Amino acid sequence: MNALINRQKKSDLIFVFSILIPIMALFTVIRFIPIAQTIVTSFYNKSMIRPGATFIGLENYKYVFNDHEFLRSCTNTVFIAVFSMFLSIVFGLFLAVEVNRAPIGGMKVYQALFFLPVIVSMVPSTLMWKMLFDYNFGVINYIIEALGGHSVDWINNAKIVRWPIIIVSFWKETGYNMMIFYVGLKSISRELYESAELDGANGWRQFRSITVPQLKPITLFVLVVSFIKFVKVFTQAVVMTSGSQSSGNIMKTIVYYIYQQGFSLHSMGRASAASVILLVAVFLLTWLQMNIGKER
Amino acid sequence: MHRTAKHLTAVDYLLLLVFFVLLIFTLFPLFWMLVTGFKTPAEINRVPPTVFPRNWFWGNFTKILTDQFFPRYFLNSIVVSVCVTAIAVFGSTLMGYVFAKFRFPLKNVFFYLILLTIMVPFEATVVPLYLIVRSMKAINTYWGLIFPSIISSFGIFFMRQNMEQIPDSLLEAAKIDGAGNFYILRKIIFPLSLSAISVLSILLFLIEWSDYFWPLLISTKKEMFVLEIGLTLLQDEYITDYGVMMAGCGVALIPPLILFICFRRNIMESIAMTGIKG
Repeated sequence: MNALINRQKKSDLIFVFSILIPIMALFTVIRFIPIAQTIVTSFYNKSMIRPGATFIGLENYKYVFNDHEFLRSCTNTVFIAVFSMFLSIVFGLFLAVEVNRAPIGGMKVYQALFFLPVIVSMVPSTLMWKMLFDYNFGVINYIIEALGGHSVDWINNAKIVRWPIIIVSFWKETGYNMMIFYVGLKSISRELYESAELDGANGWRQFRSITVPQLKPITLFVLVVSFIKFVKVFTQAVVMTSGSQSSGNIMKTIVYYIYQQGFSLHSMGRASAASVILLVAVFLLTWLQMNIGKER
Repeated sequence: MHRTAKHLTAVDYLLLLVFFVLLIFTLFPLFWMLVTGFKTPAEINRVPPTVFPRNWFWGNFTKILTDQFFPRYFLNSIVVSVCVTAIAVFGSTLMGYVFAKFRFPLKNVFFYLILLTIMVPFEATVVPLYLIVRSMKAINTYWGLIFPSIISSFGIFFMRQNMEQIPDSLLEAAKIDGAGNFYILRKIIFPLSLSAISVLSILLFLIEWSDYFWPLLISTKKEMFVLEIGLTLLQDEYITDYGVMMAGCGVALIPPLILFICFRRNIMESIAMTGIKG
């Protein structure tokens, strides 16, 4: 009997490691080595096109932190991330509550329609909005003019173009947040509302004293997840501000800065230093989110 | 549970108003894309704009579909997304089974190593990754486009979570009957995980279909561009010709839309659930 169990164990181990070893080897090449190299390279003066590297300590970090471009990238990123996150959470929660309350029929259909932008890829999404924000032919400027205002140059003004980018971001994210809040709302016990109803609490009162506290952990979770997503903002910013309709002043975000330093200016060291900064920020946020998850 | 007979208050109407304004906000860009795709350039540039095209004009779509490269972009996107999905789902299923149903030395170490990679943004590791792919001589190849996505730590977690629901007693019974691990995988685990596998396939396909950053680095030849890159090029090739651009966006939307229509409930619920479970 013992021999049989041992044989079983041995064949299990062979099975496990025949799967584990090739996959972990791929993880090593695709994830572990690049992560380690990013950290190591951030201390070196290394070029993308020339061989060789010299150790320069914290010079890359000093450069990046004193680089106007990087600081601007950071403020742009945080600005876009905070507003996109805030809007997509507020409206996502609102939609979830309405769909859950179902004051009218057909809510399942509306919910699916609200979810539609989530499956539309980022590039087409950005191009659609870019057309709406077009200076000459855009519907948005047409409406502004019709209401007696003046057309706004949404795309070519570096300050203003943040708003179209935020709108694309939150347009795509709201349906996703709606679903997460919706699942959260479903898990709140009906009895809480029924007893509140008996105590004579009205809708707003119920929302404030039952829904909001019950959804707090999920809200914190969505907050962090959305923020992590938007800290990596790249596609919408680049597509919105590049191409023939734009002046060519690309909206710089942190990921764009990495791209520019590494692939246009060929400075791997500086690109890696900026990457490490992004990595640490996202790492801290994820850690925070996991600890929030534990508390629940 | 429909409360159609319920009396609606003024507040209800106000909230519904906001609700429908948001609905218009959500659908309008998609609607405008569609109608613009069917307008002639002259009609697009007209002030005031027309809502529906006066004549449904197919020229933008013929232009896109007979473009020298656009069909190629579409094909590339399909090849890359399908390959990534197939390989990553295969690996995730095997790894999910291993982590859900076996005990082996260093299990936790391996598990936390994979967990760690979820926390590291892909964007922060592209520089070394690019050099690795370059040293593999895989720039401007399908292999180079596919390579970083063929493993999915999210997929491994997703499959593990689903396979943990499968009762151990089922596997033990099969083992007593002398079934090997591959046999159990094929005949028990795989059929019972079919819905999880299909959901994961859809999610990975959608993610890969919309990827822009990595293809931007890896492809420099037009023959190797994916749709996401190709669409941005239309801006320059058909200067301010929004009709052609929107026709292109419409075509790019077809595969995700088909998936969404067929698997709406699965996609929405699984996205929300995996979101919550992390």
